[in-house]
Amino acid sequence: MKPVLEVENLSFAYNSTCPVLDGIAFTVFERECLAIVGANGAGKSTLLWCLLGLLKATGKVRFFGEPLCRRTLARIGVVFQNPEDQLFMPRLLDDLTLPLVNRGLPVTNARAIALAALDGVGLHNVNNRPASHLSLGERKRAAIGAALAGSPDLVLLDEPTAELDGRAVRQLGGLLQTLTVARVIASHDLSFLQGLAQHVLVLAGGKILAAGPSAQVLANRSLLEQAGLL
Amino acid sequence: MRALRIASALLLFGAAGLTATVANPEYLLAALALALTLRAMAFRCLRRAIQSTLPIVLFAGILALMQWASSTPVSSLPLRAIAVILLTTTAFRLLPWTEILSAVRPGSRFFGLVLFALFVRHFVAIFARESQRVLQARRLRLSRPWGPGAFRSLTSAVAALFSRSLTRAERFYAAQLLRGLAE
Repeated sequence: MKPVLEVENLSFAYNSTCPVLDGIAFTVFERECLAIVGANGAGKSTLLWCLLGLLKATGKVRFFGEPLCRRTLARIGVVFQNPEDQLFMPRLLDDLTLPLVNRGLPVTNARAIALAALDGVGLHNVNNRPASHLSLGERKRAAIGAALAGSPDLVLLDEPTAELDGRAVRQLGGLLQTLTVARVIASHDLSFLQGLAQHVLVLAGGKILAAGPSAQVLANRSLLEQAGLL
Repeated sequence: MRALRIASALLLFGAAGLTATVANPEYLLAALALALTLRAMAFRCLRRAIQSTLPIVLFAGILALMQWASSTPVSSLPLRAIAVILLTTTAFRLLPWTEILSAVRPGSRFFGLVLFALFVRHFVAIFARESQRVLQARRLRLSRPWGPGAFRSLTSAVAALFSRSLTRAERFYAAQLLRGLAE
């Protein structure tokens, strides 16, 4: 399997005295689902922002074998913690159509792809409504649909279960399980990640505390306690 | 109904344009009364309509004060400013924005302009929501809204509002940047 994301010695600090991320290194392969777990403030979201070039970090980040550029960005889908940060159009369908049209796809094709993506996340029947009129669970699914509409090879999700109720978490887990693209999920919801992620990377204090197969890492109670997750 | 709203808004825009060029006090007072009546109808509450005009009145008051301070006779400019702003903002309120913006599809000629309007609308909505939350939080913590520490809490709330809105705006911009829309 080919690597889709390679990270080497990534470090980041808001100021030089206090590093937020220190020497992070990992690789994500095609179709793999990697979970980045850690307590609040461990640096999960910051790591995602650094990977996406939204924060300037030191170290090497390569997507699909090359540095982040417009071409590689088009192959990545991102789901932010708050779906309101992504969805703003008067209609959900337009929210999904817009980036496709922006990439040069004809409007009719873009709309067909967007409708299929909404269908995939079970929101086909609300495509004419604005995202603000949907429940939080639906908005999360819409944001995932928006990320998937571009047929990405890698999807990054930041705290996908934040503020969701049990049913919405289960629906979201089911949806993410059906995806065949590589996924990187930053979350502290261990029960959600069980059975979903193949590999887990535990962050604590901006460093990798442990990494390995999810069954092994998530079963290690003392490790999870040390990371502030239990 | 939609056509009526658009026609009324266009009429009000015309009236605002005319008001900007006219100095006749009778006409200005009539324009003010019309704008206030329409505003009250739009708000469905006269008190809220009057309250919403306070920032405009304050602006006009400062304008008049500046004229007075510079020893020039206070002209009809402040009154005209109130009337024009009231008519224009009421016209903006009357326009069915969501429907107008929805009618312009991605890829069409005017979409860049529409996208800008949608970004601004989203930012304003974020700001309004954050303001409500911050002020509600302040209200819940103060038993006497204007008692001791009220001013300090208000300034802290406003400061928090700006930092929160900035964070939200930053995230929104980052999300759109990644979608290839904010370049």
